[in-house]
Amino acid sequence: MKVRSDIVVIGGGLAGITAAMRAASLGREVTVIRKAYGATAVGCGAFDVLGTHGGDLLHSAFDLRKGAQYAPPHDLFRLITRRPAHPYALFVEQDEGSEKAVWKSFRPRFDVAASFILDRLAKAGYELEGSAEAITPHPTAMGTLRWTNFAPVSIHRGNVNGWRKGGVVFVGIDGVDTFDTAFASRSLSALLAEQGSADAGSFDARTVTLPWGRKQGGMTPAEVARELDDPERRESFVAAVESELAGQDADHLVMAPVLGIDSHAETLHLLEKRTGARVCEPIIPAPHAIHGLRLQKALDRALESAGVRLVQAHVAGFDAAGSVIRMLRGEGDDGPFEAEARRFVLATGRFFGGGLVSQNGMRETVFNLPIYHGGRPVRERPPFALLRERYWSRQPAFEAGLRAGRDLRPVDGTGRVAYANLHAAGSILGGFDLAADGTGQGVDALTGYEAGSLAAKDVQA
Amino acid sequence: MNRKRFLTYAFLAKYYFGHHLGRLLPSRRKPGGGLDKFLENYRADRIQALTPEERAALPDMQSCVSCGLCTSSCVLTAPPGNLTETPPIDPRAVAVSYSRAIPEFWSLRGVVERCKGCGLCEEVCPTDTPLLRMVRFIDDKSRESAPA
Repeated sequence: MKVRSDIVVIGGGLAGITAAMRAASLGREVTVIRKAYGATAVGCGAFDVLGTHGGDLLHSAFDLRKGAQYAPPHDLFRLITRRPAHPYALFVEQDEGSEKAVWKSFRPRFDVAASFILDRLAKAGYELEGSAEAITPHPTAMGTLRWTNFAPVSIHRGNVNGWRKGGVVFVGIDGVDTFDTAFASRSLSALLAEQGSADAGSFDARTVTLPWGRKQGGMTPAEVARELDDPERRESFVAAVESELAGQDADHLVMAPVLGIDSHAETLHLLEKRTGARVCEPIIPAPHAIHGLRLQKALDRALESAGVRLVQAHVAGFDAAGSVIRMLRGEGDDGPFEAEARRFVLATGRFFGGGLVSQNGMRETVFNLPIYHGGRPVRERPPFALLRERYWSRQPAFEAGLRAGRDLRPVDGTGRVAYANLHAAGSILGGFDLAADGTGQGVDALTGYEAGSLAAKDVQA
Repeated sequence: MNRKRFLTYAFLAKYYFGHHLGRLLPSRRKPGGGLDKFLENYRADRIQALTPEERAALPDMQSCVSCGLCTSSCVLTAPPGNLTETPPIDPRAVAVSYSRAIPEFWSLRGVVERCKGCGLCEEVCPTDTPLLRMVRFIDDKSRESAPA
């Protein structure tokens, strides 16, 4: 198979699809090449923009008593001061020097990128609520609170700051062991009491038995969710929840995150209508989260309606003339394929997505670009320099990635632009720690949008 | 060199040369002798030999990180009715089975027998786990190893 387009994007997660849709919205012909799902498809559902205090592991340290202690201008300033290689630093005017000025230069650019992708996701049936200006606390399946900027509707309805006094009931499913309702309810009530939010009301836990039976040995949320996409099953499930809650004081339901994959919103609204309670799903951690799978499927739908071609294939090599990439070669479902384009966007993610592999040191898998940390290629440093013995300290190995300037063109080992027609987007870019920074999805949206714009502009030029 | 050390080396030398010279002679294997006794000892454990190709393929099969995306795309786990099947079907159970000993593969027979080989699981797998190859491998090995 031979594909020819203006722009080829390698990688089909949040960053790659944002880049592809942005370039397509500027009238370019775009192809996305993806080997399989990546990290986006197993995400927990949170959409972090500035999740922590400037790169401290502080998700859990936010405290209801003091509000969220969230001050975006301050947090962004601290983040890029402490992590000068953070991709956000490419999007601010640092000469201004003050926290407010830095935020003022960042905010409009972020808003354009975020509203672009959030708008298209909403049209594809996946609505996110929230703001870069605020951070909100949502229950997790363990009964802790996870703070994030944007969250899909089903999670955002669990924003405990918005809970009115009344009964909170955790509803689990017999056979879905990833959500221990008794534990979660006990944990969250204790946490809210400790943080001075006594008006949260009473807490209880219930378990619903699926009317059509359960699987031996347990089920993942995704398995039950697939069942609930069926209207009849949804109806009988909601009836089962209703009868389980009969006589119960329930103003808020924290439902097992199984409400459906493609049509979870319908289940949610039906539950709210029947029970009269406000229904939310907790954030659950990978590997069995369902929110990521919903996001990925919505991205795929959005990509399709943007008229972007999606090819499932492994990129195995490329042809370049000097510093210009001509063509990618690889292996697809229907045999070998070649993809020609004038501009390329690399959005292959890190270790889970397959953009980086760790084999005798770190390696970028498509173009063999050098991996940087702290302004130097990691190859030049001994392996132990990438790891710190303290678990919670900053781990260079998880901050390493490609290095690029404001044009998002990755550089080679000498610091010069590696390929004139290659841009990088998403977590393949180094300088930030996905788990610790709380900026992962913000980086994807911002760099994806920018890489799409730049590649489209280049094609025109 | 003291006497003890000398005897030790002499003992080792006798068996070293004896073993290699013995290998040059035509096989004198008696039925019920060493190798048969050895294999007999392990028969109860249902351990079986792997071909070099099978052994070479094992590392690929160990790439599963149990993310569960295959389960949510498998046609066999699709509704309706999948949840009550016995034994439960789950491609992930196949993918993580490298951590089991081959003699235990028979417990996955119910899963691999029903696999239709559509390959949707491989298509979504982030870590390129060769699920279809594993299904064939498990099918193969579990035929021989199933307890009577």
